[in-house]
Amino acid sequence: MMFVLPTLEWWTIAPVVILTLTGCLVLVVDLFRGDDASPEPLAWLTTGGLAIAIGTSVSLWGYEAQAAFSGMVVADNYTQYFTVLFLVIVGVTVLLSFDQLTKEDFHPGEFYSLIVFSAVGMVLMASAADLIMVFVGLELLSICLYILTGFSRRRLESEEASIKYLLLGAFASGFLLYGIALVYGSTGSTNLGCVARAINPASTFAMFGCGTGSVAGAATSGLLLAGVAMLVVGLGFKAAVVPFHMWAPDVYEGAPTAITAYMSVGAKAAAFAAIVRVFMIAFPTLSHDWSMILAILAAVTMIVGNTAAVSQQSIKRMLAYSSIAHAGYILVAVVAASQVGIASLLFYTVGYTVMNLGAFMVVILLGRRSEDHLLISDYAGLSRRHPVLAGLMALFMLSLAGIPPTVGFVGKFYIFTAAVQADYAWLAVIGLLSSVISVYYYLRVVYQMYMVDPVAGVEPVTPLRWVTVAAGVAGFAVVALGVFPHGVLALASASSTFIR
Amino acid sequence: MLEQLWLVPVFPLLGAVANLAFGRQIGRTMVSLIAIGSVALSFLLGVNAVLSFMSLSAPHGFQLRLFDWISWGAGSNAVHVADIGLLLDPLSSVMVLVVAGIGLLIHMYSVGYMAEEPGYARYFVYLNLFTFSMLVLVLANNFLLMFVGWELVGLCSYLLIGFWFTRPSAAAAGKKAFITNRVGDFGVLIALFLIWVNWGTFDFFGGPGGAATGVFDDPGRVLATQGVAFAIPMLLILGVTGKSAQIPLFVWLPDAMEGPTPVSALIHAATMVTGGVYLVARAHLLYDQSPDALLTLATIGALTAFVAATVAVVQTDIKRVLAYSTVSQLGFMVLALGSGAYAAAVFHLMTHAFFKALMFLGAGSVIHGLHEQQDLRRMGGLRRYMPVTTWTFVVGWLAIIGAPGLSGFFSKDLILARTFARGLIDPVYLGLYGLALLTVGITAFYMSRMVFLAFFGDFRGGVDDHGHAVIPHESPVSMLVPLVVLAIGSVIAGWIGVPSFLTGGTSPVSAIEVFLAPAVAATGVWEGTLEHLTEIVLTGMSVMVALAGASLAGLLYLSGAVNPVALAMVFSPFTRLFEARWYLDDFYRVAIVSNVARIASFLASFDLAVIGGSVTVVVRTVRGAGSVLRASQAGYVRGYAVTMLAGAFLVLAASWAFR
Amino acid sequence: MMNFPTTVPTEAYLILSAVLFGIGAMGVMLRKSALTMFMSVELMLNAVNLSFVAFARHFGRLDGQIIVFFVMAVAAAEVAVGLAIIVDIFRSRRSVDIDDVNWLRG
Repeated sequence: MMFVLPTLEWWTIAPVVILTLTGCLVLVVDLFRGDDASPEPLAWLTTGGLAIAIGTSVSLWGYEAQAAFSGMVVADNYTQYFTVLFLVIVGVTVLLSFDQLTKEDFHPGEFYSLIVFSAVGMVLMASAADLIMVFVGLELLSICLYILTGFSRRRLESEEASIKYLLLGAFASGFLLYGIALVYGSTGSTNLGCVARAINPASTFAMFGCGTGSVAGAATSGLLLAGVAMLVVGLGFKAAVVPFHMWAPDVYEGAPTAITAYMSVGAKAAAFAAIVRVFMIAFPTLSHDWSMILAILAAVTMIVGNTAAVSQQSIKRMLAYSSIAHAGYILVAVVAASQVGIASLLFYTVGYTVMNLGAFMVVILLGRRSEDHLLISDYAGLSRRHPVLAGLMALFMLSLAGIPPTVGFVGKFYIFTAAVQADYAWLAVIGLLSSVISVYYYLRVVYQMYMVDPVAGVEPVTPLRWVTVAAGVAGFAVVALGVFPHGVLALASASSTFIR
Repeated sequence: MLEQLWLVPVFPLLGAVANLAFGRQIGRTMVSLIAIGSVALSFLLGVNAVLSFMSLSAPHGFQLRLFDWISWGAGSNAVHVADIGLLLDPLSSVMVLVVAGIGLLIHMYSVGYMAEEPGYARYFVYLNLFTFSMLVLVLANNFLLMFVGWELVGLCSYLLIGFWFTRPSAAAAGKKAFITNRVGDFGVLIALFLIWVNWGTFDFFGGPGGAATGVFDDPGRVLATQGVAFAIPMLLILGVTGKSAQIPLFVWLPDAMEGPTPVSALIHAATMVTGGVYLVARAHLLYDQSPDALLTLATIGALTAFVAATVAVVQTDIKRVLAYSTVSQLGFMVLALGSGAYAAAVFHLMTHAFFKALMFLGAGSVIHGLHEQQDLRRMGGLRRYMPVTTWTFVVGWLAIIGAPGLSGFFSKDLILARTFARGLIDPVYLGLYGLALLTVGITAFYMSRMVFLAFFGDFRGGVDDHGHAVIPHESPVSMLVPLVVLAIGSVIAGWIGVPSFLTGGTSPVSAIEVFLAPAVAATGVWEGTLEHLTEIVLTGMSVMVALAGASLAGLLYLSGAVNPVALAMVFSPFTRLFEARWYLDDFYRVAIVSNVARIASFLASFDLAVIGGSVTVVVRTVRGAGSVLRASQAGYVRGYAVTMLAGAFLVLAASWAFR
Repeated sequence: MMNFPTTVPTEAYLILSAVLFGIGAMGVMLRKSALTMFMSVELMLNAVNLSFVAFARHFGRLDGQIIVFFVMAVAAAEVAVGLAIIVDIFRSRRSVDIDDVNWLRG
C-alpha cells in the first residue's frame, strides 16, 4: 500500500510556526523561573518572537497567492496585511499589560503564551482557505480570550466576564459549526474555492487550493441558505454585530483593560478578516441573498451601538458600545462587496486600531491604580492635570467620531463612498446620521476633560513612560494617516486584489 | 541638488516641531539656535536649488512629485486628486529667496527684540511654522496644496497677531484678521471647486506621475463654459483682497500691528500679504482669459494705493503709518497685475520686501529704544541717539519714495510705465496711471513726514506716561545686523530690473522681466512696450512728483516754514476723511456688522427655539432609546442567549425572504 | 415478517441532528446551572458532528468525518477551560447559578 504524502509548503505559514514556537518557548522558560521573578525577560522573549514573525510576514509580501496544506490555508497579500496588523496589536498589548501584570500578580508565563497562541488563532483566521480552518482559528482565539478575560482573578467582574464570554461564545460556535455543516452538506466541500465552484461552476478561485476535479454535491439552495445564515450568526458574534453583541459590553467592562483593548481591535479585525474571505470567496454569487441581510445588520448595529453608548457612565463600557458601532461601519464595507469596499475595510481596520488602541492607552494610564478611575466623570479637568494625555485623548475621540483631519474621517469617507458606489446610499446615510449621535458621547469625554473642574481627591498619576510614548505615536499616526492616507491605502488596495 | 528641494520647507517645520516639543526645557539660546539654524539651512538649500534650476532648461520649471496625497478607487475608476509635489520655476524661485532670506534676517532680529518676552519658544515655533507654510504656499505644484499653505499662513498670522493674547486689543485684532480673511478664503475655495469641475485636476502643469494635462497647460478650457472664465479670476480676486489687504477687505491689516514688530515686518509686510500677488501671478493664464477681471483688479489696486496713502498721511503711530504704506504698496502691485505686467508686480514685491521689512525693523528698533513708545509726536531727533537705525531707515525711506538708483525707483517706475503702456490700448488705464502717479507724490509726503518727525528735529519724548525720564538708546548688534543687510538689499535689489534705456540695451524689457518671462509672461496682446523717450519722460515725471511730496513734508515738518496744524485746518474736510480712514470701518460697522448682528440675533433666537428645540427633542429621544437599550442589557446570560437565538431566526427568515 | 430498511436515509440523521441541536439551544436558554448550560453547548456541537458524519457518508467521502475529529479536539479544549472557569466561579460565589452572575449590565 502506498501513501502519497501531501506536499507541505511550510513557508506559507511561517509566521504561525514562529509564533507557536514562541508561545511554547515562553511556557518552557517560565518553568525554570522562580515565582517572584520579574516578568520582564518573558515580555522581551514574546516581543522578540513577535518581531521575527512580523519580519517573516513582511518578507512574504508581494508573492503570488499560494494555497497550501491541501487547500487549508492561503498565503497572499491579504494574509500578510492582517498578520502584520494582528502582531503589532499583540505587541502593543504586551506593552500595555505590563503594569497590571506586575501589580496584580498575573502569572506572566501563562499570560504571554496565551496571548501569543491567540495571535496564532487570528493569523489562521486571516489565512484560512477552508471553513474548518476558520473554525479552528476562531476557537483557538476564543479559548485563549476566555482565559485572558478572567485573568484578574481577584476581581469578581473579571470572573463574571469570563464565564459570560465562555457560555455565549461556545453557544455561537455551535451556530458557526452548524452553518459549516450545512454548507458542507449542500456543496460537498468546506474549501472556500470549491464551495464557490459548487454554487457557480464558472467561478475560478484556483488559488484557494480547490483541485480541478468535480465537486461532490450540487448546491441545494434551502440547506445552503440556512448554512449561510448560521455563518452570519457565528461570525457576527465574534465581530459583535447586533443582535449578537450583547456579550461585548459586559466582557469589555470586566476584562483587564489591556485585554479589552486587545479584544476590541484584534478579535474584531480577525472576525472581519474571516467574514471577508468567507463571503467574498465562497458566496459571491449569492451576494443578492446575503448582502441585504448584512446591510440591515450593519444599519441596526450602527444605530444600536451609537445609541446605547450615549447613556454610559463607564468609559470602558462606552468604548465597548463604540466598538460595536464601528463593527457596523466596517460591515458597511463588506456590504459594498467590491474591491474598493474591501480596500476601504482594510484601511478602516488599521485606522480603527490606531485610534481605539490610543484611547485605551490613555484609559490604562489613568486607571493605573488597578481598575478604578474608569468613569467618564473621572476625566473632569484632565486637561489641567495631564495636558498631554488630555490632548491625545481628545484627538482619539475626535478621530473615533470621524472629524477631519483624522484617520477616522478618511476611513469613514472611503467606506461610505464605496457603499454609495455599490448603490447602498441609504446605508451610507444611516451611517452618517448614527455617527452624528456618536459625536455626542465622544465629545462628552472632551467636554469633561476641558470644561469641567477637576474632582477633588483624584490625584494625578505618574504616566508610564513607554505607554505615553506609544500613545504619542498613536496620536501622530491618527493625524498622519488622516492627512496622508495614501501609503496605507495603497497597501490595502494591493491586499484586496483577490476580489474581482 | 534639485531633488533635495523638499528639504527647503521641511527644515523650518522640523525646527517648529523641535521647539514645540522641547522649547521649554532647552533654554533660550538653544531655541534661537534651532529656529535660526533651520531657516538658515532652508535658505542655503533654496539658494542652491535656484542656482541649479537656472542652469537647467525646463519650460514650465522643475516639478518634484514627492508622493500621492489624495486619491481613491482602484483600477479603471481610480481618481487622483492631488499629490504632495513642489514646483520650482522663476516665479517660485524669487518667492523662495524672498521668504527664506528675509525670514532668516527677521529670525535673527527677533532674538534681540523678543529677548525679554515670555513665550519665547512659542514665538519661534509660530515663526518657523509660518516660514514652512509660506514655503509650501509658494512651492506647491497644485492648487490644493497651495491652498493648504494659504490657510496655514493665515493661521500663523492669526496666532502671531494675537501673540500677546492677554491684551484684549491684540486678541480682537487677531479675530478681525481671521474673520476678514475667511471672506476672501471663501472665494478661493469656490474657485478651487470650479477649477476641479472644469479641469478635473488641481495640478498646475501635467507631467509623469500626475495629471496628463494641468490647469495651465490648457487655460482656454474655461472659455467653453459660459461665465466660468470670468468667475474663477473674480473669486480668486476676493481671496487677494483678503490676503493682500485690498479694498474692500484691507481693514484687518492696520489692526494686525498689535503683533510683535518683527512679525509685522515678516508677515504683514514682506511675505504673507504678498500671497495674493503671488496667487494672481501664478494663475495669470486664467486672468489673461478675462479682460474684465484684469480691469477690476487694476481698479482695486489703484484705488487701494491711493486711499491707503491718504490715510497714512494723518497717522501718528509709526507702525500704523507703515501698515497703511504697506497696503498702498500692495495696491501698486495689484495695479501692475491688473495691467498684465505680472513680472513688474513680482519685481515690486521683491524690492518692497526689502525696504518695507527694513523700515518695520527700524521702527521696531525705535520702539525698543524708546521703551515701547510708538507715537511719532513723542519722538524726534533720534538720529543723535540711534545712528545706525536712523541711517538704515533713511535708506528705506529713499527706496520707497523712489529716489533714483535705489530699488523702489526701478520697480515703481516699471509699474507706472507698464500701466501707461496699457493705457495706450485701453484708456481707462490712463486714469489709473494718473491716480498712481498722484499716489507716488502722497507716498513721498507721508514717508518724509514720518522720517522727519521721528529722526530729525528735537527729541519730544523726554518723559513717559508714568513720569519716568526716557533716554533713547541704540539697539543690540543682533538687531542692527539685519538692518544693515536689508539696507544694502534695499539699494541693490532693484539693479536686476534696470530698464534697458539706461543700460543702453536693445531689449524692450528689463533683466528681471526676462528672467520671469517663462513663468509669468503675459500671453500676447496686453503688455505693450514704450519708446525709450516716453519711458524717460514718465520716469522724470514720477521723480518730480515724489520730489514735490518730499519737499512739502520738509517745509511742514523739517524747516517749520508752514505750520502743519494750520494746513490741516485749511483742508479739514479732507483730513477728517483721512483720519476716519474714509469711513470704511464705520461703513462696515453700520452697514454690515450691525446688520449682521441683527440677523445673527434673529437667527440666534431661531436657532434657540427651532433648531435647539428640535435638537433637544432628538437628544431626548436618543437618550431615551439609550436608556431602553441599557435596561435591555440586564446582565443575564440566558437573556443574551435568547436574543442571539431570536436574531438567528430573524436572519434565517430574512435569508428566506430575500432569496 | 417485517422488513427493516437496510439503510437509514440521510434525512433521518439530519433531522435527528437538528432536534439535538435544538435541545441543546433550549438547554442553554432554560437551565440556570452554568454546568448544565455548558453541557447543552456540548450537545449542540455533537449534534453538528452527527450532521458532518451523515453528509460524509452521503457523499461517500472521508473529509466530513475528519472534520469531526477537529471539532472533538476543539470541544475538549473548550471543556477544559470552561470547567476551570466554572470551578473558579463556584469557589468565589459558592454557586454556579448563572442568574447570580449579573453584576455587569447596562
